[in-house]
Amino acid sequence: MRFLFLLVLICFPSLAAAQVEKGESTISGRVVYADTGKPVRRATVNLFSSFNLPPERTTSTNNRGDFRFNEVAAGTYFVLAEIPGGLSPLKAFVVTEFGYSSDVDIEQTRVSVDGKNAVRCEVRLVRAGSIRGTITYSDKEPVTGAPLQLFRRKNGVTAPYFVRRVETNDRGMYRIDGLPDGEYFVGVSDSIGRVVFRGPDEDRGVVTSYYPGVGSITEAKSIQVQAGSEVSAINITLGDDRLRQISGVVKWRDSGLPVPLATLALRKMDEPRVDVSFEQYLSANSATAAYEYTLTSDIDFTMLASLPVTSTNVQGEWKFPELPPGKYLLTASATPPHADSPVVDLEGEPRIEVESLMNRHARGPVTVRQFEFTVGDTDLKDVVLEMTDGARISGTVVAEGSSMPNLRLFLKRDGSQIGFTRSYHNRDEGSFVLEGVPAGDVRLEAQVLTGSDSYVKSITLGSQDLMRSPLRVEEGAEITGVRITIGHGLAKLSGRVLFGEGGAPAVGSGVLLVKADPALWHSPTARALAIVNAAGEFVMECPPGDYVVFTWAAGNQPAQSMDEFIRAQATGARRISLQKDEEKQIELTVAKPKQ
Amino acid sequence: MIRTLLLASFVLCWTSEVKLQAQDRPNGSTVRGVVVYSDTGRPLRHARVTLFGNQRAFRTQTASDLRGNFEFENVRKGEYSLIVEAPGLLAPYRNGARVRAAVPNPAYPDISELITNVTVTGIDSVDLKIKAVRGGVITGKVTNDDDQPVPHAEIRLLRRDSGKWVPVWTTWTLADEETQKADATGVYRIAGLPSGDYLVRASEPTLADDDVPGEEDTYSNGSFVVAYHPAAINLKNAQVVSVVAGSETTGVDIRMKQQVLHTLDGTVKFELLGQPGSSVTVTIERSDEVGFSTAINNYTTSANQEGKWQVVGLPAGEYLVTIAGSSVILKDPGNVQFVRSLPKRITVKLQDEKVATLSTSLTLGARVVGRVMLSGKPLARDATMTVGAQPVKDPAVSKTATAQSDKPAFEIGLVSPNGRFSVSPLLAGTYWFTASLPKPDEFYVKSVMRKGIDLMQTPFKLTDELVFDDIVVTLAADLASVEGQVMLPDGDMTVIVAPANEVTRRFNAGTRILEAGAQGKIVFRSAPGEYFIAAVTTAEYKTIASQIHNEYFDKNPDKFLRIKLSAGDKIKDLRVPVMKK
Repeated sequence: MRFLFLLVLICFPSLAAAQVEKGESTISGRVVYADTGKPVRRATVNLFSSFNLPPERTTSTNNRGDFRFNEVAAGTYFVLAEIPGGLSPLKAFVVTEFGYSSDVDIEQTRVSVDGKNAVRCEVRLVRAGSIRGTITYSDKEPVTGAPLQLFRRKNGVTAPYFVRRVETNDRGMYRIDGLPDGEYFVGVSDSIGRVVFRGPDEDRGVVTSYYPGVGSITEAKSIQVQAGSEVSAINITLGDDRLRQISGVVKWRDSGLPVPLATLALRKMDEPRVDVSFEQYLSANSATAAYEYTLTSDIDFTMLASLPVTSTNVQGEWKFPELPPGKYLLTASATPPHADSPVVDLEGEPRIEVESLMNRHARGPVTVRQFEFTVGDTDLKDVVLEMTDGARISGTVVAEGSSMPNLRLFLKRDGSQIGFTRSYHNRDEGSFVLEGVPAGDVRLEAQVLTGSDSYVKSITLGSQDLMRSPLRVEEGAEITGVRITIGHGLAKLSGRVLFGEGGAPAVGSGVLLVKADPALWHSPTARALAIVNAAGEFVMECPPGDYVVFTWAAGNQPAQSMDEFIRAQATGARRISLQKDEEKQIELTVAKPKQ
Repeated sequence: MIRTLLLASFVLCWTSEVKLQAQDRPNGSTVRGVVVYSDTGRPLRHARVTLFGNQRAFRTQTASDLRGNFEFENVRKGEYSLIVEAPGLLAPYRNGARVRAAVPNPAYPDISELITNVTVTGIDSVDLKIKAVRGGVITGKVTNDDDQPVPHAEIRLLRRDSGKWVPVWTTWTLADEETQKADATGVYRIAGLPSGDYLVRASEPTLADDDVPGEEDTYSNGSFVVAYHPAAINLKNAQVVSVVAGSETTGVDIRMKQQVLHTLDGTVKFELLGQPGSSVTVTIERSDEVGFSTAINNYTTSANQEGKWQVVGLPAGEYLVTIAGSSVILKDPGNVQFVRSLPKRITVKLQDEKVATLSTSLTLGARVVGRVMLSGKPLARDATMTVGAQPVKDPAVSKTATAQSDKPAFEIGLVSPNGRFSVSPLLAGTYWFTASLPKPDEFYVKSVMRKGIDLMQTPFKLTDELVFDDIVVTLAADLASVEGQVMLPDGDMTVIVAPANEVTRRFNAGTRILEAGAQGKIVFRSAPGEYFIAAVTTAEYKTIASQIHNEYFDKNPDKFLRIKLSAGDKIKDLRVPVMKK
């Protein structure tokens, strides 16, 4: 999963270099503190047309709190002022499959210009809340340099909350800033992995202890934060005496040989996580193109999807030291021994450099297995994880009356993507293959990468419709003859979202289109998502077909998973039919969130 | 933001690196130990413990566990250094996570106490008890005139070292390596400091900005708005803060005065070419902080296509502006060359005028031009040969010094595949000609002549913008050949052959290290000249390898045999002495 991150990072700078359209309007004003009315000096001021896109423009205030954007093109914008310690929708938020969500009011400084006139506005900056405390071991020595992890409970759902990365200092003290009103949980991740950024001991990310000093979020005490005030003495005693080690070996089931350099990712079951793979998140948001922006604005987004990871040594041995008690899910992935030998001996030191490891994962095939275990009162030793080569699925790709697009093929099970399974799509030959497929029922998903007018029309194996029913895979099976049909002529749906009929534009709202056929609800490729811009408008492209439409207001994003949300809300949702190449406009309404 | 991204991707790359335990090498030792705080005696948990090889490029890391214990398995025989790092501790090295080899931290003159020397036999285990020493702390608050905090103010420390103020590296983690920031309430805290006298400097943070001019008096770059504790606008009036390791110095507040800010702009052109100085870099430093290296303060911008540049947000005061040109293409007939222009340094005083403007012409400086001949033809194949101009007075000036100094500097130039070379830009001064050959046992520099003058023996004088041309460097292949024998060899021997006088050093690639064969036999070819020669055991050589440069030979001439080789010499039985201890 972390390799995907790298790709995203590399892609990002090209987005930042987007062309700025110039006009002759001026947007000027003053930034003041909402509570005192005093000017805010040296605040950063951004002009956004949508929070899903990078800012159109950026400037700062002078010592009198004044700012001015010259040469602004006609349009509707948000004027967002930011200062450390101030509330910003971009510096504190939740991420789900529905995109990012923040409770910060973004409506107040919406400005429209015609490209010629000058507009003045006052931007009221709300001071954020903060949490302060000290983290110590049982003997009162400080826990130093450990990252804090924040969770927020809203509408009964607890989710990771993303703010700028905070670590404890040399005395174990920390301060988390930038928080809107709400109910929070504070945890600390005191792992060895943060100290030594490599090696079998790495165990980054598991929350070691939650306030006030418990190992599970179910026992943790929540903290009420009010914007503009500080909650102090949120101290945690680490409970180092209850941490345990789990260790063992990874073996090939057939040969009994150890698996060197298998990658093991660990997840604590009761720890709230962003329950989307990053790839899934990106594909869900691809209609809006610049999804990355919010995730890269000063947030420790590495926390987003990076589970604690370790690797086996040449003997296939692994360990996760210092885990708090609880239930865990371990995902192991490995390259079967017939692939290139992964061990590189560099200057006599048994070490693998990044490049060779990445190459190995790029070449594959990789098999993936998942294991569950429980950490209790004692260390778990000699845990044996058995891996197999996995099955192989292959077939043809047929494009109907259009050129062959780039396809991404992946597998899902129980709503989650099976990571690291290798897929190859040969565009010239119109063939594909997936390797290292685990046994059981899997969903085969095919997605046309953006920038094409094509879409996946059907996936079949003989008479079986693989878009609507899962594929049963036996251990080590060779499944051939799967046929993927590509159609073309995407429909374009655009429109406005209002707070009730004839109401104000519901800026920042979400619009979700899902295929009306319940048998397709599982598939991320049967959905399209858009966020309403500052002008109250949205636009999305999707394959022709019958859809149900969902909307939600900014800050009122669904808390449950997308699958659950669709199932719960589909009856009574508005329906819409889109024809091939059709360009349709609609007006949608959404309920205003309660303040 | 890009910086944040790069850092993040670095961290990700790093985490993907996988280390294996060396179970396949059973004959190593286990090095284990416990780390405790020196003051409380309690365990130091999750400290980074690094083991460096003293004799070979080796580095491995682990972390202490919840009892302060750590262990390295299968460590090969040899001498090692072990260091312990954690927030708040005195740190012997600058950020051990990033440097693979041990780079001493310049701010800590005596680091030996913080390093544990470990001797590993490869058989016996080593048990260590490490006492980690907490450093001192400076903490305080940065505010404006009106008592409002300066959030994310950048804090830098200077420490008195031999009577001079030296910037200190103050952070432990990978992020923000060079600066430490105040929090949103203006409060800062810097820990892990050795005892001593410090100055605490705050500057305003730099804000994001697009290139379109906005409101009057806005400035995104806050790095020039500087204050020293307690409320000084320059270093001269700063108050010294004393720190004692293990204790906190609190209330080190910094008041930032509101100052009138000035704008400095300018136009650059390349004089010789009559073109605008596009993409020229302009570096601005506060005059009272020059020489503090990039760690403390400087700001670099570049000129646009028209050669125009601008810097806003400058308080009144004196600044040093360095304008350095990138390479320009110079078309000599039949010989296109990339030439760098001479950097220009200008001191600017900003006082009353709101905007000050500089017009600058960059010149190419003096150049040394010529060709290299071998057997009567231009040297065609050996493109990696370099030639240079070395200032006569101050040979210690580094090769990169032109951007930092008004003094002549040692510049080198590559020999093109057609045998031509050009060394530039050079300031007026007196220089020696130098040449360096990649394969010193194939050819040597036989002569360097210009208009009948021997440049091997005679320095030359350059005036501004002078093109010093028609230099002919002649190479020859009739090297001296030497066969010899180490006297009383003791196991594997290494022979050091080093030029013994200035002329030999300037032309023949410096010191050579030869592995002696069975019974201490050596064979080598060399340019004519005078050399120091001596043998040491290979093990001992590794301990002195880092000291082997010219100074070492000049200080210890009696440790070596001095020999003189002439062209074509065939020496059969050179007796090489073992170096005296």
